Amino acid sequence: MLSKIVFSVNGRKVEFTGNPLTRLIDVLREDLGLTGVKEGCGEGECGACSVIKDGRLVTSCIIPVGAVNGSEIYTIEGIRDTEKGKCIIDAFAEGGAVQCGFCIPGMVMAAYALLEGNPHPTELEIRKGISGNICRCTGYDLIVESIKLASEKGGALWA
Amino acid sequence: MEAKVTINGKPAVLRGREDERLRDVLYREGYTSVRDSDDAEGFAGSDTIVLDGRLVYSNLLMLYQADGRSIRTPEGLLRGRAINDVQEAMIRAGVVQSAYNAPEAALALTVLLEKNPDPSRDDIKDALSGIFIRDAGYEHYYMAVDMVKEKRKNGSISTEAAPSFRDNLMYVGKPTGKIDGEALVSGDRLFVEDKVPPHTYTMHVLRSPFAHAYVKSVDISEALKVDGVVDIFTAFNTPAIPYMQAGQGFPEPSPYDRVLINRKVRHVGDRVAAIVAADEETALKAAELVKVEYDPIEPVFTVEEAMADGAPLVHNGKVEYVSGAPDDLDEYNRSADEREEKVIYQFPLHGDIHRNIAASAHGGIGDIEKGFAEADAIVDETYQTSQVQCTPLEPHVCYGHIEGGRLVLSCSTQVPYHVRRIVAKVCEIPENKVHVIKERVGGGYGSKQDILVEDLIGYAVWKTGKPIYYRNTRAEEFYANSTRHPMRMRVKMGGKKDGTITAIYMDVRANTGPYGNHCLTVPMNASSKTLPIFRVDNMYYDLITYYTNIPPTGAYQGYGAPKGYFAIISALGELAMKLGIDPLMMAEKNIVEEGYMLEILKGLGEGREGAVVPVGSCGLREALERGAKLIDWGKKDESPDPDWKIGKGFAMIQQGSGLPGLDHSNAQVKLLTDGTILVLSGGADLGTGLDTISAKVAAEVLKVPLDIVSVVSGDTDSCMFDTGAYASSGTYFSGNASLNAAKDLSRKIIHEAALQMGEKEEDLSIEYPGEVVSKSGRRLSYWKISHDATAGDGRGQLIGTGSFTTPNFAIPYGAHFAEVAVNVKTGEIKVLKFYAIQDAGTPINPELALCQMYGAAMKSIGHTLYEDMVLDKNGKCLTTTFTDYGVPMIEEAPLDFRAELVDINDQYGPFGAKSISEIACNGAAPAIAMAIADATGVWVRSWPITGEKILRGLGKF
Repeated sequence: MLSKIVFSVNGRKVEFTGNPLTRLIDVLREDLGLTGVKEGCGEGECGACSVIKDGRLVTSCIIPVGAVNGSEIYTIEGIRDTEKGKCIIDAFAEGGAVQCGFCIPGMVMAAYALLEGNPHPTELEIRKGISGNICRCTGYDLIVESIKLASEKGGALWA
Repeated sequence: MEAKVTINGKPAVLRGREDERLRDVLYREGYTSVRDSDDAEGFAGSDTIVLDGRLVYSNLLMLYQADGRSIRTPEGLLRGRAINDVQEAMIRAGVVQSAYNAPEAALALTVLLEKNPDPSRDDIKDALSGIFIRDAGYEHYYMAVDMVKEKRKNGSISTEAAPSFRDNLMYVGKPTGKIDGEALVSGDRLFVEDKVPPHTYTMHVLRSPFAHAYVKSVDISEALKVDGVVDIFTAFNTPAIPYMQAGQGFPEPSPYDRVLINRKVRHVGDRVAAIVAADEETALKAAELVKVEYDPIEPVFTVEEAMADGAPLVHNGKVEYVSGAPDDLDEYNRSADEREEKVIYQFPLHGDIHRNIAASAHGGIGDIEKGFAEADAIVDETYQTSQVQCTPLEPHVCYGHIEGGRLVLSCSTQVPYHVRRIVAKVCEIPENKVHVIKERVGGGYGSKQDILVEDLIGYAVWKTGKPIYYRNTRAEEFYANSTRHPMRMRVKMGGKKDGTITAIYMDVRANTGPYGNHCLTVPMNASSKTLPIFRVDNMYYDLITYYTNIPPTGAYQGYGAPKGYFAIISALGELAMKLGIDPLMMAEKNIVEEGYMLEILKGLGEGREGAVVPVGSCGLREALERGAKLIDWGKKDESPDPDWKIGKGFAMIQQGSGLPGLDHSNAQVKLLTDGTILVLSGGADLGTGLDTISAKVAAEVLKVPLDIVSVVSGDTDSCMFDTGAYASSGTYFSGNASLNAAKDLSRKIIHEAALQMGEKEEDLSIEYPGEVVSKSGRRLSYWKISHDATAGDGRGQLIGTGSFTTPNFAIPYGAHFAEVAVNVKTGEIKVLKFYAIQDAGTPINPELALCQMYGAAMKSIGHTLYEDMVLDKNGKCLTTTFTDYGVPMIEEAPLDFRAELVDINDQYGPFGAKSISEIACNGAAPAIAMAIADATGVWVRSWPITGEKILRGLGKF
């Protein structure tokens, strides 16, 4: 069965015609070339495929594209050149949050979603905010520190 | 639509638009051996497939036409990774070189042999008639079919594609096949186009319709609004950093006379704007919205127009010199036009842009006036060559992207390290930020010595951060690329009745077109590669190169030598005819031989004083004698048809092997942990077999089987610096660097083995297949040596390094003989026989060497008889397809076509090797011109030699 699904990705209108059960991650990566969205587990556990759907952090590997009809999706490609995106990315670099880097696009999306709703989170809130994102390299501490740094440096940006 | 087809025996579905080209769909679906080299002209056959049992061009079919039909592609010739017997025979015959069309030729011959197990020469010619081969000529394809027939009959192939040289060596001098032959003939994904991932951006270059104009303004505002356009670059938003596109060693003997996008366009097709967009359709839509205001200037196209009083100036910017500036430079620059690009000479080339002169030179030996006074007869004639193009099957192409904050360029280039330097300069970044990967090159022939697309792609990728893929159209290959410099050469030659040449004077006037790439060195080759073949006491040359508004020129196999030989050997033939003596006797009387001091080189130093050196190994006399014998020189053949006149001609030729004192190569040879060998060579194999040379010399020195040696080359990150593959430098320079690195590794292996074995180094030697043996008979394998060296307490991996520079010349010589038939009623010309005899020292890959001789001879037969870039009165190239331009196909190959190697050992080349292929471009034009004169009495003094020119000479109109 073919369906036409209309939604927006990074502010641009997208029309998808095809099987509505196609995974959102495949549409983003294969059809739209947004390869910053990574597939780690394929079962919604690791968070490498995290994107923001209508303001909420979701894992795009377990969302069928049919479920995003009319939605607004943002991926790392859509936020990395914004002031907020740059603030987080710079803080990650400064804070030493990045090692192999595979989880980082998802991690940045998680941080973005968190700070958007909570400009000055506590450490516990940060840890909760990235609780759906697995990082095997860093042991999380420097990522948490970096998100704190982004919150401080961003200041009014997040308010 | 969905077309249901059978592909290589299996049902498949091809998806795409009904009217999409079948070739594009097949390539997209992963049948990447089905390529395109002619923009769907239906000429070159890179897109050949078998449709319901018949060979067709898939570019000329639309997807819907394939529905329900059976398709075979070269992929279907493979069983797993195993090639079929036709492909194996092609490798053994030496025809797999740059190989862009080799998989298609294999498919065509496979189908032929299925239908007809014993095809005739004409059958083979018919099967290959739609496949253009530029690299290896066509001759050894016949041999490949014979090899297949032999294998099917006897189970193995005993035919050797070439004789073997040097009995004491295992691989060098033996026809072993090219080490990358299987991958190439299989159609593996080895070319730049195969490396481009989905969602890569494209670039479209908006080009000037005027041959000469100031660009007053470029309005890109509307074009930028097109959805999918990333950025548009013009002269007004890119930096004005002077550079030039010739891939020559720094400091270059060519002026920096351009910037990335110039404010003044100087030829039809010059860059005006570069549009980066998501896809081609978007880029073209945006291109229509770019508004350009031009202020046209009168153009000049010929040397005569450029040198005329009051001629419009192609360059009138400020002139600067990095060194050697003349005292009156400020005065000279007073009339400089602000709108024009600077012209910066690294050192004086004796140019004068106020007279459209890009460079000039002169020099000689003896006293030519005295020499002419001693002569019994003198000829004084002028010869003209036209503009021709290399036409590599794979056009100029580049894929760039950013990786880890660095610019990565996948290139089809002869000069990866010059690409890195020039792109870094244009992008204003240091060289450590640029990584150039030379992929397999689908034909270069000189045109990929110049950095013609990488500069713009590199800049655009660095600025936009987007991955970008760009490929010239075939038309752009003609009008926005590089070509042979058209030249006018006056030769005055005096001789005595006994055949002694008393004096030679050459006056070379070259047309460099809009920019000065190779403006000194190509024209200089017309003298520097011809005069030193003569043992004549009085010789002098003058050279002036002019700027004009024709399409750009640059390097083309043979450089300036094919033109110089056309003039000087024609003059020799004319002089012999005037003296009533045999031109071959006259040639043999005046040639150099080993030990002769080349005083003439002092004045031929390409912008600096040249070194006087003796002639080294020299097989010239043998080549002349062998060719004369083969063609039965002196015997006049006659046709039974009185309209057909038959004649014979020859040319003696030389080239160089790289540029002693300028070129520089480096290599590393690593012992891997299991005792196998990896060679890292800076050399750029452009299909010629340079990697095979590196592998063979390493295997020879280290005494290991050839198949345990692998080669990585031309990657600027993993390999060491090399000036590049041009000026016939590959074998001599890069080959010698690999040799030196292998020798260094063998010393290190002995040293390490001595420590491991507790023996003295002097008691150890290396033996096949990769063992160190002591006097007492103890043995240690490379595996054991390497394993222990890289163990936890080992002394470290064994790596040999080698570099090569030299003041010594290794000059290849040769002689080409032709017999032609001319119809004096119609002007039709047939090349009946063409024999190329050459001295390449020790030919390391003899079968590849022969095929390169055939390929080069075919290219030069092309410019001698067919190929010609024709411009209209406004400077627009009219011959921008293969058909219009006229490259030779198998039908145009000489009926009796032979290449032979003279057995000579050189003292400086690796295992005695000298260069092979460039020299082979030098003989056809003069040999055929002489044969036509012998047949008809008419000397045609301009190429291409056409029937019309002969009939005109015969007074028929």
